[in-house]
Amino acid sequence: MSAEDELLAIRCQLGERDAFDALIARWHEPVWTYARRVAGSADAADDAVQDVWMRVMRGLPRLKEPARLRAWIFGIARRALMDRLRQQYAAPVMSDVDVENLGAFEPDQDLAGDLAHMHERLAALPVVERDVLALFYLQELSMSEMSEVMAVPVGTIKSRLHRARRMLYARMTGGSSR
Amino acid sequence: MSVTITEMQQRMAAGLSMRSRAGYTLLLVVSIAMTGLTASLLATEPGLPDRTRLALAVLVVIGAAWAALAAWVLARRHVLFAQHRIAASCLAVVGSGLFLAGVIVFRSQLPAAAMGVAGLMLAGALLCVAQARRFRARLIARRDALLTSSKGQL
Repeated sequence: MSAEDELLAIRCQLGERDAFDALIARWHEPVWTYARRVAGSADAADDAVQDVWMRVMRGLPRLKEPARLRAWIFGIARRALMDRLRQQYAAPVMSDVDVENLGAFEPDQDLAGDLAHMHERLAALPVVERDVLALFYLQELSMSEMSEVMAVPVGTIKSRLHRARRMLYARMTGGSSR
Repeated sequence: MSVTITEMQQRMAAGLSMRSRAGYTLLLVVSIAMTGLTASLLATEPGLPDRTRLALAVLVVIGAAWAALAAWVLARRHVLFAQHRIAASCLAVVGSGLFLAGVIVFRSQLPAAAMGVAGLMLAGALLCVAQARRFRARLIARRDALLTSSKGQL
């Protein structure tokens, strides 16, 4: 997996046009799915993903470890999404909001109809918990990759994951998460 | 997924053309050459009227601003991939070589510092070509090693 990613990243760094197409073909859907989970709506995910790909293209020549392509792309995606959430929550009354500690984030109601029960519950979680569950279970990133993506120690990832699992379980069973 | 893979590939392909990169590379070379030439005149020409000195200083600032803009675009917007780096640095060699040739032809009418600026520019461009070639060779070697190992696993 990482050798395949490394090869793709190196071909992009060389400037091979078809490698960029292959890179997008390989990672567009996972990145969009992740963005959809975190951003809460398909429209927001579309905007965010375009921004992510622009950042990826501009950052590729400076990518030092091509083998870590997946973690690097999701790191960019996460930063792009957090930037958007900061802007979204930068209204005057909430100008000092820390996105790491955001409260419950309501998803667009019109999307709930076509989501599975599990995904509805996931979408209703606060952004930090949604983020960590999406990366771990939907994108199957390892703990070390998540640590790199989220720029926090592995221990923090574990505790966030634990809290997110409890919250999701509580929401699915109708209990309390705390 | 509202934006399809093909749509995203088309959107990103627009930002990968060599034309804009070549344009900004030429802008960088020309603005450095003009700034260097003007600055050398300003620094070495004695007895210039104050108005002329001021005008030359303004030209230096404008030229430096254009050079900074081109460098920023090439570093942040239309970034240079390995093949682009080689093409851009070769363009820089041609541009700075022409500038040096021009300075040599008109050396009797130009300050000696202009020759230094032109020489430095050409040396810098040649260094960029060498670095770009080394960088590309390293990437190609790694790419070929990965391709060989992936074929070996099949």
